[in-house]
Amino acid sequence: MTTRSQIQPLPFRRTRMDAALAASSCQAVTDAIRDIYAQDMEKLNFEQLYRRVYEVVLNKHGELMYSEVATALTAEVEGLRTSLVAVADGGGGGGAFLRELLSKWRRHTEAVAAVRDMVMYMERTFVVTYRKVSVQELGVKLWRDGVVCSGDVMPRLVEAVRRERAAAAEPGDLMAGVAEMLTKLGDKVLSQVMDASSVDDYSSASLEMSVSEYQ
Amino acid sequence: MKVEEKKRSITVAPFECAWDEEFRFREAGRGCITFEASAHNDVTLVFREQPGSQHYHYKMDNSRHYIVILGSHRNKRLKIEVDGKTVVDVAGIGLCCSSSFQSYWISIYDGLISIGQGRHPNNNILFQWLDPDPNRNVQYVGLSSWDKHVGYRNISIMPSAPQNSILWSQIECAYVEPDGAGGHTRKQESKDGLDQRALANFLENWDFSDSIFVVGSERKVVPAHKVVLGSCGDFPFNLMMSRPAIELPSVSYPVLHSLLEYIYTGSTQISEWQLVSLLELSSQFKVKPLVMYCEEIIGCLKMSDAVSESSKKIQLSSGGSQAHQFYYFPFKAPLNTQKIEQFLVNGEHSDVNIYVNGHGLVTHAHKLILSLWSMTFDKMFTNGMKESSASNVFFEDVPVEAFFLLIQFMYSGELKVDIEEITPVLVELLLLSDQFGITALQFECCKRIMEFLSKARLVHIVKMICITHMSYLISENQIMILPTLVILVLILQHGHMTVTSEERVLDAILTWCMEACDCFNWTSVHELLSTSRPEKLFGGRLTAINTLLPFVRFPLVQPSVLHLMEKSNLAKNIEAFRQLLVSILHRKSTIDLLSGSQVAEAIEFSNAGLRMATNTCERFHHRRSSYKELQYISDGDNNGVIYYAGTSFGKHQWINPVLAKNITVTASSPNSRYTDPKALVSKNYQLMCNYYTVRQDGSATFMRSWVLQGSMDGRSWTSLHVHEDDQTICQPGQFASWPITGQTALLPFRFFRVMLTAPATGVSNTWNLCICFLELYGYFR
Repeated sequence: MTTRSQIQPLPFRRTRMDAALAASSCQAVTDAIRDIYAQDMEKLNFEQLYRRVYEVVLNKHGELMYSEVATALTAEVEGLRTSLVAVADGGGGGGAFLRELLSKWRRHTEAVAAVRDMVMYMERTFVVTYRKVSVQELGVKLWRDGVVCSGDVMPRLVEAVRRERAAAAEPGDLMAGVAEMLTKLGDKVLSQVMDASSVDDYSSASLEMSVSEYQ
Repeated sequence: MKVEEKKRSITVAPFECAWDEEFRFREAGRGCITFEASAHNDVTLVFREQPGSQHYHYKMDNSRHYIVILGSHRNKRLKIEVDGKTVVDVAGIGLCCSSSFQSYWISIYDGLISIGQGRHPNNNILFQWLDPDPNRNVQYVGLSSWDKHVGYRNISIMPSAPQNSILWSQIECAYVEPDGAGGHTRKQESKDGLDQRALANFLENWDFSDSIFVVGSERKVVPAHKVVLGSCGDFPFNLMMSRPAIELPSVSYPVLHSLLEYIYTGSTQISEWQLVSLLELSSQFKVKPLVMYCEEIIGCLKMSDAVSESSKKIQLSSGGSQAHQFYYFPFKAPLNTQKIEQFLVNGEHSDVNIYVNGHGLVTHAHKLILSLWSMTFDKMFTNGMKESSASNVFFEDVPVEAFFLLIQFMYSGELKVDIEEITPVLVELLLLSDQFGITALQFECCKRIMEFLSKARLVHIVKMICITHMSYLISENQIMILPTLVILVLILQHGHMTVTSEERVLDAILTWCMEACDCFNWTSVHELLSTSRPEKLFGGRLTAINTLLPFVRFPLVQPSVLHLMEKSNLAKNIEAFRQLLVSILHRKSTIDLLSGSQVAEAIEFSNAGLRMATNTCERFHHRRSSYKELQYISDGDNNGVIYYAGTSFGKHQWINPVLAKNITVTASSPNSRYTDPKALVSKNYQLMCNYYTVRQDGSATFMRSWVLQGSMDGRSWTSLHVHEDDQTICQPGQFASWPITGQTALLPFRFFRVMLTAPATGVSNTWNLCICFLELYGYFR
């Protein structure tokens, strides 16, 4: 055995992260989530954010990070809902409402994907180990419970879908988009909207058609 | 069955199953069991949500469960069943062994079932299977059997290591995927876009593309990557345009597509009539393997006079010429890996500059290559934040040297560090590969570190000493060669230490502490203490005794010896010794009083559970022994000494050892029609007998009072087990077995005899010993 093959002591570079540092990192991540929803991603530094998440999770503050991310997403979804309701109240027919809903949904899914990239390390380790709901699923759940199924969106959505169906014989792009979104949210929401908005057998069939087309 | 007995070993009778509150995963669906088993076949483990009964049988179970059978089909196959359906059935691995105990481990982690050999989970993995529909509720482990007795012992439940198993599953899946089988888990993931990309994903993809082909008269634009093209041919891009481009007005799109597909994925299809244009195109760009391949096929077609205008599709693939490369390596033929490594050195075609803050530029790199290895880099370059559009990327708080090794690994697939050294860089690299999710590198680093650790100097010495027989050290006065307390502790803790009995460990500790030249055993120390004080006897090593005594596994010492020890001067004079004994004897007596095993468990837990869990378990585990261990499993089994001698120690089929002259058997009365000798003598072998079996012959002359004796010289005999009016045998042909307890079980003997001490029952021949079978068990050398 040569003298070379000795274990060299490893200097511990990382000191234990204190709660204050962890909290400030979480703050940076939640700020980034706000920017992502504001579609202002250009100025964000991926490397920096990823590293902050990595360090927080590595230092066993994963629970804090996860709950902060969940809270921030909930707040953003709530913001989208209020602005959506404002559009609906400000007039505009069923079509305008649906268009607004879909554009908000698109913005939400894009943002969730970006957030997921940012917290990828947490998703790979903390979420798996502690069997948390992944950010992707969390995004869907928040949109379903916080927006689509909420008291002031659901009746408007049902009304708009009914009006749209009654107006157009063939399901257009708009309806296809709505059907796509509802399918992603799960069968329960889909059938709820479908049943409530059916004027007669024919239009119910037309939405079914658009759903099956999407699927 | 007493609890202590249970801890040491469990024999499961055919078609039975042992359950215990202790055999339970702390977390449902995740856990690992390590155990040793000895059986002819069908070491069967049941994993369920709830424990079953003693007569539980998995064929009748209709709740959800997993079954793992080692040595199914008469010890030929390994089987895994899920809810009664066989899902895995492979030949020749994880077989059981009837002549000795084999260690196994089985770990379950969210449906990932891993089976391995040895005491250390995740080492020596034999088989791994992932349940597509994981049962996350399994928690209780049942130890079961099929048509033969199965002996289990040293059973421990541990948490299963998540990191490792995830690591494994990822590599496993990546490995299986090319075959198309078993890749379902990966494919499901890829729906979320969370999947790492392969080079094939970049075929005609605009992501990271830095060049274009303008093809055909319709001027179709096809994106490409210079780093990929450059590594397998010579593509003269026109650098004058805003984006480097090659104009190919006379080539049709399907031909170019074929060429690119071949480069990016290693295989392609093309219509027969386009083969010539593909040959022209590939020779124009000097893609040599494809040129050769096309020429070969065209030659073959000419030979067979085929119609050249046929539109039949021809498959072109680059074969397994790169089989030596690691399966996780993303660059396969026809890409030239040396050229790719060269690109890192000279920075050709690079599209990103990597900076580390506080150090400056590290290297020029290629986004494509970094993305192929790590999803983090992939997302960094594509998700729309600052880095996606920048050509300089800054990393903070990463060690430069390790980071450069990481990038090097991405280009070469090799870890360019000195194998002989374990440096902090390797550990930093391991951390980095975890940070950026490069599983293959993580695995490679772990492997390097493990390899080194097993070679490391200290471990090497400890191993060397431990493999030497502990008793040998004592008898040869070698215990004194151990210079320091630390090393002695290391040896005593080491799993590979071999001893014949725990008393020898105690002897060794006392001898070492006395700094004596001669070997002492604890009884002689007891005598010395009657005239001397411990301070005088042990001198400076008196305090060391307190450290060392807990390493003696007192629970494994026979109760009678424990009582002797308790009364000895050792207990009187050494407080630590007394406390240890009192706690163990108290525990034993409590357990003897209480029949319910759960109560006993609870008491034991309150006594010992506060200390480190692993320590507590270990205290009940047998150490290895250099003596051949022949343990009693069931009446008439093949584990005894005489059977062992009859097969020449496992070398051939059974031949009567008396005929083979391995064993001499004589009788007290002369040979006659009725008498075949019954006393047993072996040549130079020694046996520490701890169990024996006899079988009544066809007569009804049952022995009632007899004694089993052992001797070293054939003259002076020691009684191992005295029976007085023992009513056990009451049927002709009946088997009966008895354990040998007490100190005599630890003494080695060469001669054994069974002697009647009082008349047997029956009408005639009451002084005859009527047995037709004798078997002895224990430690054999």
